[in-house]
Amino acid sequence: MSARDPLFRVEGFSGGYVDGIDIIHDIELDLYRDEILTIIGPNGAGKSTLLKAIVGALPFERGRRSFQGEDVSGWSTPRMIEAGIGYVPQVDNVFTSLSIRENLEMGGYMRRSGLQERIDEVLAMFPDLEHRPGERASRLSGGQRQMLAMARALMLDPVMLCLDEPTAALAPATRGELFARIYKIHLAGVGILMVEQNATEALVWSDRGVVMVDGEKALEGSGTEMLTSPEVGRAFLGQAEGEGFAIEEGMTS
Amino acid sequence: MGIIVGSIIALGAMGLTLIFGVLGIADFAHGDKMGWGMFLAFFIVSSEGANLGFVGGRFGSLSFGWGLVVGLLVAMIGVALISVILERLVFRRLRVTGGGFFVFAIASLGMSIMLRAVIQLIWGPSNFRYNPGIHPAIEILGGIKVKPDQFFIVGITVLAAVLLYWLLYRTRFGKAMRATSDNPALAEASGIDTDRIRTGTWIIAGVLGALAGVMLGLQAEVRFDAGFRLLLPLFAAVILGGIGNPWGALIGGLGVGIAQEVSTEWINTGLKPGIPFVIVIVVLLLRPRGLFGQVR
Repeated sequence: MSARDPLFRVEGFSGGYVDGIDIIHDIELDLYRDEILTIIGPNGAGKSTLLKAIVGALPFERGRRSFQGEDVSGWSTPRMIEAGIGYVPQVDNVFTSLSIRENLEMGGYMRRSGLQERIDEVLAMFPDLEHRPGERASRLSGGQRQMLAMARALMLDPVMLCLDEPTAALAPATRGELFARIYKIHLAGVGILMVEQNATEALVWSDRGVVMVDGEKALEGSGTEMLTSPEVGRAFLGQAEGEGFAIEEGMTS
Repeated sequence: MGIIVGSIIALGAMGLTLIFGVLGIADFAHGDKMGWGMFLAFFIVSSEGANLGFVGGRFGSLSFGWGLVVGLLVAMIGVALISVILERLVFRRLRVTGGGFFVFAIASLGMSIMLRAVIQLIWGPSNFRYNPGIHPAIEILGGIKVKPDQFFIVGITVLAAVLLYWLLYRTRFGKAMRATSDNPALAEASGIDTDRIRTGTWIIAGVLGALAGVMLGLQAEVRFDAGFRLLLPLFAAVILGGIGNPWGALIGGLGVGIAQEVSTEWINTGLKPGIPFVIVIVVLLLRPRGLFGQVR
């Protein structure tokens, strides 16, 4: 596999929760290891469904998904996770009654060796969590919980991380912090695929963006193209007619 | 006396709350599984068991000897096996066909009736004792009279609670049990074999239930419906301690046992079985999540 072969590829992919009722239609999508790809789009566009499909959590699927060149169509979520794909669902993504350390242990449940070492490594990436590993997850703030959910997903050394609306319900300041953390994880060699409602901020941190509408891929382009496209701006970034997009100070990566 | 009864209730309630917490099942058959534990041990210590070569004898001033120890082991294995078979035959199928909380509860009620009926079919409706005869109590501090067997009952309860704590908080399997209880979907996505966890939970709850049943037989009489009669106090203990919380069940069990016994100072002994009802109603009204229940 060369550097520019896609890490993950979805071809002619359709599927849904009920047999015969597709929520996503005929999706073609590539993710490369050296990029952050963000999927945006209106509510109900099938963004989260696509993410679930990628990690094998969708009951009905047609088409092909391949990971690192291997056909992984029909693989279950645990198998995908073991193969090297981390997945952070939007909600219920931590074990609230378990401590931070126990959450990480469960994230690394499939590890055959080096569990404690990996816990220490992952904790070192999240200073907020590092100094209180015995704290119960239910006592963490929304932002800290998202950090823990990501930390959990990193326990099996994934090469690709799928994040479902990581900044939903977070305060703006926390959102920036979380995106910065995601970027840092990416710099360590992890391809990132995320679904985001806070589209503008997410695109600032992204190499590429995909717009989904009604279960189909409507547009695709670089993060900058997306941010400057009047069409995307009007429809999805909440900009008025004729208004361009200015990157806020301090938000550039 | 309350502590002894409380210990037995606590042993049963710890298993019941575990099933509730990890599997989401209100197991109405738990009392009758205790009944099975009680009778499996009785089979070993009684003449039928003696024919198989298990001799009697006694440990010091206790009322029993190796026979009951072997009986206890047989009871634990037997009840665990019954629980696993019922899980495979009934609950797993109901889970696949989308059965919810009430379907599980009604199914367990059916099992309760069935398990009790089989005990009655084999051993009849009579009362038995593990070791007939007079077992004198000894006097301890403050003139309180305690039978040596009762020290054993409390000791077993403490040991079971410590082992359960160690299992749930110190072992990989126990942590996976708690994770499955907390968030089954995430546990499965993390690669935890939740079917194995469910089976393991039935085994642990079965062992605890068998212990409770044998201790109940040791303290009182061996009777086909003795386990079933304890079902309400068990649920009261589980609710008092916070559903799904083993420590809550331990404290809840002791609380219910002590409340039942102490209540006879003021009320007619015949009204004693009503005390768990009162506890359930008061707890549900004042603190629905129990003493140690958590808000998720």
